[in-house]
Amino acid sequence: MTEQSLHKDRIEGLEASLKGLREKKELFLKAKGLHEEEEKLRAEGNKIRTGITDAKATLKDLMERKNTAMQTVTSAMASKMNAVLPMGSAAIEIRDDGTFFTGWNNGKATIPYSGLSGGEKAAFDPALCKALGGTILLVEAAEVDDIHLTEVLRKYEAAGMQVIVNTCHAPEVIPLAWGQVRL
Amino acid sequence: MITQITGTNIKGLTFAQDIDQLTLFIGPNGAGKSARSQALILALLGYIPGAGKQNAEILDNYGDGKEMSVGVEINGHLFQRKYARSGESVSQAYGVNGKKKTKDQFSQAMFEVGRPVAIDIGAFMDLSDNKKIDAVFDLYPPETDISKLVAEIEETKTKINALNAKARSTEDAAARLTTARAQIEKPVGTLADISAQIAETEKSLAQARQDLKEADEEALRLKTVAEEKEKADKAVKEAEDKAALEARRKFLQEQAEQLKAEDVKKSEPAKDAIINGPIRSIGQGAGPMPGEEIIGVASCAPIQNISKAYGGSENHAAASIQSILDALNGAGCSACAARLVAIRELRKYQRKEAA
Repeated sequence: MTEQSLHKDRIEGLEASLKGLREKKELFLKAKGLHEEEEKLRAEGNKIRTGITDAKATLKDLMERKNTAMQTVTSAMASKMNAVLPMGSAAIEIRDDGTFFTGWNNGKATIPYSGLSGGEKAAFDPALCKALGGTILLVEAAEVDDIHLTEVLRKYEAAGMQVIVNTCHAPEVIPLAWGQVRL
Repeated sequence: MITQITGTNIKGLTFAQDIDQLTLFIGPNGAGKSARSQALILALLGYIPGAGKQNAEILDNYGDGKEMSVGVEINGHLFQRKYARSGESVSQAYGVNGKKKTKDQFSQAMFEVGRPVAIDIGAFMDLSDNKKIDAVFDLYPPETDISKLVAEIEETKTKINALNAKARSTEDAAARLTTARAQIEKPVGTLADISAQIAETEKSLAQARQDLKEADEEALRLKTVAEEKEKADKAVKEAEDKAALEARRKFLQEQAEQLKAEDVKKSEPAKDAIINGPIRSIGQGAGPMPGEEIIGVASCAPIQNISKAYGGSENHAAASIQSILDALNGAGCSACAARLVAIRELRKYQRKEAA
């Protein structure tokens, strides 16, 4: 075996060894690259999460501003209704989901409009009519009892509207401001 | 303010009812309380909430099916709507203070005298939430631009949704990378270790390549030296051969001159045959091996001539060949053709002599 062939064998061995080492290095580099990419993505994810937090804060602020504005509107409307309602208070809400809620809080619970009895509607509708800009109220008071009818009549006096109330039975006390038509 | 409600054939009743700002109708069922309220609503709105809006429906539900009229007196002006059937159709006519008007004129006149606003609560409650909100905003305008706020809210919600989707996507991608990284079978050691090993191996490889290069160069150098030596040896040998040849030529020339001198004494005719032929050949130097040719010429024809020239003196010819052989041996010629020929010729004479 010549010196040259010895060198060639040595070179082949070293090249094989180098190839193996480079393959190992490739694995390390690949893992490193994946790790770096992963870190980058996680950092990006954190940035996005921060963006979400900020956006949620903005949304909260907007919602609050909207709710405040809505509350101003609904409060004004409820206030007008309360001037006509014989008792309790109107519950008017524009909710976040876009629902327009109309109800009557009788002091015990807030009853949605659809849950009001005939007598309650007889008292609630004129208030709503007034709040909606009506200038004339027509009230079918058949289901309003005598005591409440007197209260209702008194309330309507303050409504500043023309009011016509129909009833089968006259209350014991009819406020003086009312004209009576007996049929 | 409405001061009077009128009705003709409405729910079977005909009336002209004066009313006040606050009016309480009291009466049993069927007395006409609701008919008055409905007449008022119909006169103002043109329909009765919950009872249909078509003329035919109105006439059929509240009139006698043929003709009906309702009216209100607003601030001294009488506004009337008349419904009448003609065949299958029902028409509506409008009148203001007893004069026929178009629908638009009727509405305009009512507006001009201060039209009372009657609200159809049922219709309002049947509106969609958005329309209810719009109606309320018309009546109670918000201090801030709600629609702008709503748009901003929707935009922000969309942005949040998009960011959430992006965050999920990014996190999923990161998780996939984590999995991929976990699946890589990393060798023992660190990247730094491997890099150091690579550097070391590269260094060794470079050294090995350098060593090989140097070995190649050394081999080449040795080869060149050997070739040069071989070339030099060859040149030396050629020079030696040439010198030897020259020495033989001189020797043969001397021998030939010596023989010539001896033979001149014995026979004149043989003089040319023995001396001139071979000498001319030597002088010409033809052929690759001049020496051998010379020997050939000198050892064949001349020797026969010598034998003839000496009249069968075989012993003398053999002695001459022997002296040539001795000259060849003396010159170091051990295997040349001339020597072989000389030996062969000598043996011929020796055999003859022995015989």
